Amino acid sequence: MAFTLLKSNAIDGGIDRPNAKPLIINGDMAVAQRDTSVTGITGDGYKLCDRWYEYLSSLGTYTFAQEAQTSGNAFDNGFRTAFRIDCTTADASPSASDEFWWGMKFEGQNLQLIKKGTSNAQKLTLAFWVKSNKTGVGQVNFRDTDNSRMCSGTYTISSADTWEHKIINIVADTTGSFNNDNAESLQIQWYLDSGSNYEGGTAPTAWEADSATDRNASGTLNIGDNTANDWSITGVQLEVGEYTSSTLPPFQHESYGDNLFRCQRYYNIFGNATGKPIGMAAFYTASAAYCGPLVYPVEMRSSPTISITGGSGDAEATAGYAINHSAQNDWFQTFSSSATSTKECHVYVSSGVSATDGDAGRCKTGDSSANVGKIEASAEL
Amino acid sequence: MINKNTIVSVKKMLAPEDNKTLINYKVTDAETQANSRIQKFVAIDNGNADYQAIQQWVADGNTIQEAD
Repeated sequence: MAFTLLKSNAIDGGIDRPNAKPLIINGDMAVAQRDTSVTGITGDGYKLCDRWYEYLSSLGTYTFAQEAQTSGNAFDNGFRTAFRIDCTTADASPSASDEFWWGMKFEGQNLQLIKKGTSNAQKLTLAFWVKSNKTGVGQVNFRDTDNSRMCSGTYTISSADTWEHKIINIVADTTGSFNNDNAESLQIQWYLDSGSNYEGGTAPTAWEADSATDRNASGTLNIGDNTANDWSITGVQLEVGEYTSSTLPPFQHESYGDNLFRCQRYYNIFGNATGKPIGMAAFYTASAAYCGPLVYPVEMRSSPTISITGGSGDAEATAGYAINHSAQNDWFQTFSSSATSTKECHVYVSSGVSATDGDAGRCKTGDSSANVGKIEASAEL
Repeated sequence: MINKNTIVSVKKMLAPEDNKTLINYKVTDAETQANSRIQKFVAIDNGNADYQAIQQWVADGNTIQEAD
């Protein structure tokens, strides 16, 4: 049987990694564990498609949606979902310090193949599909947060409301290595709007010391200036080496399961529907019921923050959770978080439950759709 | 994701089994104030971005409350 070694098609640099996973996680926006549509967004965080973050500071209000694709150039290239941002309250005159960017943060230990900060540092190529009602120039920044350095590229939206494929080449940086750990080392930022503190400089096409006025120096999209504005993106890929539109490797489409598994290093959710098992057994003491373990499908990046959404009371009609034991249900409003690690967490409840010390039970979310419980574990960067 | 600028208060939480082992920080922020059904418990882990936000909040002159 013949064996063919797959070779990089890069015109400069490049690394052969035919069996490796994409550097970008969830680049096709297929996984959205938190929600598929969120309204009234005014601040920063991880709101919609897994791994994708927005920084938003006093620059309008937005709706985010995981938009199903049914036609168009992105659809024709295999992308069925996109991350869509719609402006719902405009701010056409942002204050100097206001800014709005969307992007991804990376662990340093996952970027060592770039060899940044060495004489063998690699060039990078970023590719993506983008669509907006506005035409103009968008700026994308690579920000090395270990060494406070940045480099950027720009893309031009030529036709309104049309999916266009963009490629940005980033030069190699022989200064400043990424730390080899699980902390944030790199941000890729698509600037969507900003105040004057982030404008007035020059979009750097060579790596330089981080400069605020360079971050959106070339951007003209100003997505926050009108409620008619929208911006959508999908098919994001990051390749090691310099590629053109004719040499760019195809997007590595993962199965949904593989994609989800990689997202779960950073975020997991339990419950979030009525009457669902939470995958844990309860154990009663004289004063409380302990539930666990809630085991994460993959070891998380760090011990996570546990966010617990409960119900509004301890009655069946208002409870967020229940423990079934001895052929009866203990309905109760919510849990508290107990021990947490990168592999599992425990939760407990000390009011609204009654059983004999040593009893066991099984946990589930409540029956009221208005009070449904969910437990979220977040180890995002 | 907790933004230090939206933190209202942070309280130490002790293990219910011994009532003395620090297990996490309970954070009240703009989101939990807007929705009383939500509680946030931040792991004591230098790698946790929310823990880092709390440390920055403390560096800004704020104080973590002792446990009840």
